[in-house]
Amino acid sequence: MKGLSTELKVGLFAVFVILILGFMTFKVGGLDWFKKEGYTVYVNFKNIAGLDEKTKVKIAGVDAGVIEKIELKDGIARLKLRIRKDVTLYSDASASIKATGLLGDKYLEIKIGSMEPALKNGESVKEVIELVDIDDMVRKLSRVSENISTLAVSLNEAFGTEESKKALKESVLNLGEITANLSHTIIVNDRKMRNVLDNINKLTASLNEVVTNNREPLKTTLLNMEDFSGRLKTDGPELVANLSKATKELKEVIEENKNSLKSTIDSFNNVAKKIDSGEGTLGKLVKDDKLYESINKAAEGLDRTIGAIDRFKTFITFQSDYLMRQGDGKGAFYVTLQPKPDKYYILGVVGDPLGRVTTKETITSTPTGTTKVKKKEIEKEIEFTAQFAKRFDNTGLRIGVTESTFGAGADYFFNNDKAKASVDIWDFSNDEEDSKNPHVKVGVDYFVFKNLFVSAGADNILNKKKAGGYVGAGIRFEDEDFKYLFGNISRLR
Amino acid sequence: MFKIIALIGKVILNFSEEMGRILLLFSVTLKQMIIPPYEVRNTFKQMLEIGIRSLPVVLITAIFTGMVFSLQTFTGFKRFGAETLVGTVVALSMTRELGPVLTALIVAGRAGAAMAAELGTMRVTEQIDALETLATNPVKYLIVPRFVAGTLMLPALATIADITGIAGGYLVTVGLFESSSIVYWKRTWDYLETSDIFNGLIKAAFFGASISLISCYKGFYTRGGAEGVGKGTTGAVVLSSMTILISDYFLSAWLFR
Amino acid sequence: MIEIIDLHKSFGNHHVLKGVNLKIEKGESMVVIGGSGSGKSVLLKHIIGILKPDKGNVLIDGIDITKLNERELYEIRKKFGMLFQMAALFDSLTVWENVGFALTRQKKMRDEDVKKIASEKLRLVGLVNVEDLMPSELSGGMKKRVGLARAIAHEPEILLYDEPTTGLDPIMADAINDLIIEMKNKLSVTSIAITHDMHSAYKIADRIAMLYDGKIIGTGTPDEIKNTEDPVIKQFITGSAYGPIKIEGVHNERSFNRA
Repeated sequence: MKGLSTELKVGLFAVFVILILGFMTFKVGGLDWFKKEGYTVYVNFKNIAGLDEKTKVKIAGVDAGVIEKIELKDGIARLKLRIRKDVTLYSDASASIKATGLLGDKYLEIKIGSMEPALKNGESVKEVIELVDIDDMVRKLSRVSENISTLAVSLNEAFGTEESKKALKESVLNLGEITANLSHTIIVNDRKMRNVLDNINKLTASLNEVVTNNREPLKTTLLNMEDFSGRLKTDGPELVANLSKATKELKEVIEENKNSLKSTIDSFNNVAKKIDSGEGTLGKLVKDDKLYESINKAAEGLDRTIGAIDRFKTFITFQSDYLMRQGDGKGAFYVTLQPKPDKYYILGVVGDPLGRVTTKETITSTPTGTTKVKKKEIEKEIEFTAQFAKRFDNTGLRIGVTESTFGAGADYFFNNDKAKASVDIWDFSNDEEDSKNPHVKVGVDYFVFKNLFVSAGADNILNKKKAGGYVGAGIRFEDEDFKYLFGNISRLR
Repeated sequence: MFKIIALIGKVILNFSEEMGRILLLFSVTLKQMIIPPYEVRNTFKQMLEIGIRSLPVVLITAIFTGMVFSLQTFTGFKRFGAETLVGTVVALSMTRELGPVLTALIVAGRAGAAMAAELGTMRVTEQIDALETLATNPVKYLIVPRFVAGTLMLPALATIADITGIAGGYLVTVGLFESSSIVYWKRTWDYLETSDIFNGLIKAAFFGASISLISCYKGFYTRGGAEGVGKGTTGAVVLSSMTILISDYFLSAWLFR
Repeated sequence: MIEIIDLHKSFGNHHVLKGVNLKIEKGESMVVIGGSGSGKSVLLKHIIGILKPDKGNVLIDGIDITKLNERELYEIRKKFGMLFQMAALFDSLTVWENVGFALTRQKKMRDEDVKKIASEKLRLVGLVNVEDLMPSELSGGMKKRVGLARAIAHEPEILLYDEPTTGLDPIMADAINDLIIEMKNKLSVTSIAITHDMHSAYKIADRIAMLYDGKIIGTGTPDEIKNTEDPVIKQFITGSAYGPIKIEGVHNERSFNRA
């Protein structure tokens, strides 16, 4: 260095320093000034959570550009991205904010999509996956876990003590007894049960025959009447005999097993009493408010966190209609099992005031002539409903057994499912005098409150003599509601 | 009791007076810097003195600072699995803080002391008066070149210190701890920003100006022979170092908001 | 022609000059004598304008230099050459650079020309082959000669000598005295010297002025001074410890802040 002049030394030094500085800025700035190539696209985020300008944009984890600018526009973050020239984004490309590691090395991840046309310079990525707020999630989870721990504590309290263990054992023993009794009853009555079933079979067969025979078009009412009367002469007694026999046999079964049934019922009573008085584990479970609350809270929390998934739902409906024509009430109890929102099964029992109507005609011959006396016998009957239903958007179609005969129906839901208009058709038989035509019911149900609905409509409109309006009301509970209901009941007690 | 208060008053007065004189000298220096003719040759000479002659010390200090820094952070960061960030930490602390400040302290100790001693000797041996008699403004002839050289050379040295420190960190992280060299460089360049480097260099320039101004002031106004020269030199180094450390805080707060 | 009128200067509480009046004719060799710390150097620095007076005027060829701005002052200074007590050579420059300093800076001459003139001036003060030495390699007497060469390099009209013989052995001192006389004769300059060396004063002076207690208490030719009746001057020139001059104790010659 000695031979060099001061100026030269300083000059060399300066060049050296400028080279280093240039190298560093080049490395750091990543060629900011040269790097204006590629194209820009925009993306809007509600929350960019600490993303910065110059942050990398990655596609499949590979650097594909940078965030050139971040602007705030009407409370929304608008990011200007510069994307490499050789990368093509399509119109269904999506953007999301990703972080590697807990230290929060954040970047913008883009999925390029596949739908033509490709994004042009200055266009926006429309699909945006907002960042999950970890804070929020953690808060919810912690609430859930808190509830679960309270639940655990309650359970522990319920089952932990010697007393409760004993009670549990008792309960199990009780249950064992009950099942033993039940099975005994069933075995003893096996034969008779079979008889009952056979009779029912026969009855159905006869009914079937009646239906088949009636398929022919009927010319006149009179002819019908005659025909009917004739057939009744032959078939009627057998049918009645069958029925009475079946009933008798059923009665016998019940009478014979009075004792065992009684003991079963007693056992149930016993259990119920114990539960009612808060004895035993179940009792405790039922009585313990804390436990319920805990379960409720836990369930609520989980529900909120996990969100709505397709749950198996169960509805229980009690309904009571007043039939104006008959001046009588009709009660019904339905269980709706809904494994999927668009598919459900309805099982129910209906207490029909006009269950079965049979007409007896007595012909008395007197000197003045023949007098025909018709006598209607009306039996109140318990009928069964079992339908399969499928729902298409707002329309539901049902098919199956309606009030113990083949039937079908349709529902139209409106006003957010708060209201329902239904048409039902069943009972295609013409074995009843006044109802030669199938039973058709048209009506509207409207939910006044969440669980309470009112209904109104016209019943049996095709059969003039029986047609009439009806009004009714009902309550419907979802399995969800039971939770609260029982919780509340236990609290009230 | 009153003596203590009086002492405090005296210290404050002295400080204010000194500050005022330094600022006065600063304004004179700026004025002389603008007025031609320019002391090009002297400036180059001072650049050589302040810049290039300080280079070995700066290099050694910077490389060992980078090494020890990565040694410590690596051990610490490993405890929570963040050892890949060592490059980032070394680069950030070198460019923003250690590069400029350490370079400034070295230059204050080396060139600043030399300036104060040289000017002080010139003062007591009447060389400064001699300059006047030879129709040469001593501020223009002596202080301006040093001021300019100091202001220019410190950023230059700091740049070299930055890169040397980062290289020192590389040696330890990659050489000693066998961490990935690609990761080290990637983390270094990814997280460093141009503003980190340039704000650091702005600080360095400010330090350079302060050091040369303070040291020239201390030398230029030396009184009382050889002892005065000694006092002036010590004072120059102490005041420069204090100024560097104190102004560093305020500059950092301002620049790296 | 230099005229000093009622010059006052104090440093803090120390009142150094208390109304100096002195007139030096063109071509004259004036020697100002006075004790250590009497303010001789301060007086000299006022003449060349390094120090500004608190009160009073310094006229150089009729121009009051105390009223000049910096630029004009530097212009006036080109008329001056000054030899400092310790020569005050620039340590960082070689001998020829020292000598040619004013030429390089004021006249913007090329290095070769400067060096040639420097050699010439050095020969004039009796030095050869010292051009490329550094000042630290020179003896005290040689330094003074180089200092003198530097002072005369730009051909000034007025030469100022600050204690030219102090710190030299008698033989060397006499050689310097001869050199001063030679300069005066060869270059026909006005010269002002301050000294307390009476031998030197008698030898080089056309007139001698005595500075005491901040004032000029007497002026005259060397003969007039020698035969003065003034007790203060008499005590000083005879070098007696007894008399009206109080010995204040040991004094160091101080450098003063020019601001």
